[in-house]
Amino acid sequence: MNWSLVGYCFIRFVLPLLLAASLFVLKKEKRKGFAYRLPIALLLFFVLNLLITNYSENMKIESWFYCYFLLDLLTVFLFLFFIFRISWKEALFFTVAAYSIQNLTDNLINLIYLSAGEPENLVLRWTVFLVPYLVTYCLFYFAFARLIKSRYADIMSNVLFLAILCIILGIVYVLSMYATLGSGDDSISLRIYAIISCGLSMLLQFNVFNTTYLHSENGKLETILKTENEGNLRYQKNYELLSMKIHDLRHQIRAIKEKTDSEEIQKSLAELEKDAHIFNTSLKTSSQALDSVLSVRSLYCAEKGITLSCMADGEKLSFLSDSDIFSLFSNAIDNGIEAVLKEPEEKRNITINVREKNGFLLIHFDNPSSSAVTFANGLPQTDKDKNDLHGYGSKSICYIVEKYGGKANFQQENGLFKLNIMIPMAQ
Amino acid sequence: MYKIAIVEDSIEDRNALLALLGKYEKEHQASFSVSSFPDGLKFYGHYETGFDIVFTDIEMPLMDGMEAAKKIRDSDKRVQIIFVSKSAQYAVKGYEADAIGYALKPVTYFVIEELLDKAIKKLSLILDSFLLVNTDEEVVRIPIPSLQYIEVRDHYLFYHVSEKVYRSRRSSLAEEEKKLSPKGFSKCNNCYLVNLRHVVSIGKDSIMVGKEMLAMSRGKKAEFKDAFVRFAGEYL
Repeated sequence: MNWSLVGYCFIRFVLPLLLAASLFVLKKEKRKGFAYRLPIALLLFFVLNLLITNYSENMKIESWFYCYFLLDLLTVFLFLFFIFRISWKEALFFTVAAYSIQNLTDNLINLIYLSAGEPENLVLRWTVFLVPYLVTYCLFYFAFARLIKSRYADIMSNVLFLAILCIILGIVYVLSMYATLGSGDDSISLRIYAIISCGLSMLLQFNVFNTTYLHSENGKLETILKTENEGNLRYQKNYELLSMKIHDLRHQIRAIKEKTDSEEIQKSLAELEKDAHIFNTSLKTSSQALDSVLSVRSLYCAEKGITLSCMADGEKLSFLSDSDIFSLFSNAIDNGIEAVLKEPEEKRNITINVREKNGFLLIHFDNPSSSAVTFANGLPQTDKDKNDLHGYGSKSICYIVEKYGGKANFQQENGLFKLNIMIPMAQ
Repeated sequence: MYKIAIVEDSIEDRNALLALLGKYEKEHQASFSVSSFPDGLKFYGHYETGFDIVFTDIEMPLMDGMEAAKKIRDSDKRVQIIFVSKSAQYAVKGYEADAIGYALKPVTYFVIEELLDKAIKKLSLILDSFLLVNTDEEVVRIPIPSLQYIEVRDHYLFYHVSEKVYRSRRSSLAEEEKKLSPKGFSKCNNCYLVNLRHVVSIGKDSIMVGKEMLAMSRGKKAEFKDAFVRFAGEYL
């Protein structure tokens, strides 16, 4: 066994690759029996790579880099898959990304060697080797690896995309190996080319996953909004029918009241009238959509002792579609209702303010909220289970507002939870 | 000390409100001088500016509180109007008088407290808010609401007030920012500190302040928009 070659390959390739891959999986869920899986995996990983590296020595240089490249990546892939609870596509994604960053750094080191000469001094040699790795890996970790959450699992299913990345990186690999071991035509331009290619393929890998994530997220929101809208329309129809009936009922009650002399009947009729009155207290804001959201909520709120203090110039909402008005106000009010139900009854007040100033439609909601709300990316985090559609309320508010070029802002201040919205009015 | 007017025809309701104002004074170490007006006509007929906060009923004999409040608003931009009403149906139009909000009868302390907090916060943005600027010739007192933006160029600060511009080299933009950001100012890029009251449109990489277009930098865009939304949503 040629130990010096094996050592060289391990230091220059195998270990940095394993380290890069580990950056991704640090926060991943481990498979059952991690404690015995890890040593087994590490042992197998080292033995396999020892064999691969050693075997490659006996082969011709041209076939060497093809096999070695693929076999080594395969061991990393298997290593990840074996100890972490991830799909094979995820493991492939990580392996490819790990290879990009490793190859980028290795080429950077070679570039330094080429332009400044390989240092003779051992300490300097290690410094030139370790510092680039330290820098690129740290950058990489904070820019990409750390931010990866389980949410992108469904994006990883794009096998074609992964395959294209593999091909690009394969070409880069072959070229850089060719430069190192093959023709000896090692040149600065080739190294720069390799670095750029690796960098680009990494950007591609992470950017594409960002936009795909966004697309699928927006798709989900659209579906939710549509279902919500259908529900709202049905609700509104029912509500209108019911108010008409109750209106008739009130007239009948009044008619009976006039005809009867019994005090007892008068009294119970008065009670009945009072109950029916709730239906008639709905607000008129000159936006039918907003009126119906408010009236539907006002029944529930009256029941729970919640006041909706709404001052609204409904006319100014007319450039928004009815379904957007439904969703926006329903979501905001429902969030408010949920929050004030945790407060003592005298504090259950939700303020709604809609007006126009300086060419902006301004919408303000606030409600008391004595417990601290946590925010992530500016959005309040729900304390309900995350597995259902809950938590989409705030997201869909932002989505609608941003659709019109506006901006929504959530904050908690002095015991009040506030939602401020600005939408530029059409000129 | 804030000058407060209560316009309310029912003695019972007026006393209830007075009691809550007293409670607020104690809890917030505030001090009010309250004048009560038993009917709308007495108050609105001879309205003089000078009140900071007005609590007014809407349905009153001889005078509709909403119409009257709108008239007051025309002559007094500063006064903070709070409606007190039996029904939300009328109060929902309170925006027409640029009111802070309304309290439904019977009034509760929490609602009054929230409305007073808002009114006092809004007043603090207007009252006694002048900026002293040292130009080469004189010291200028600029009312903060009418200052449109401050520009930094060649080590000078330029204070843009509608048509006029004052030049000063005595202070730094960072200092002015510290002073003004709680009063509704935000930077749209490193050389402009903008009064959010005067922003009339926000584009992709520029904003309109009054009639002038200012460049907005990518780095400041998100922060500026957030500051604007928060300020405009509550205080504009």
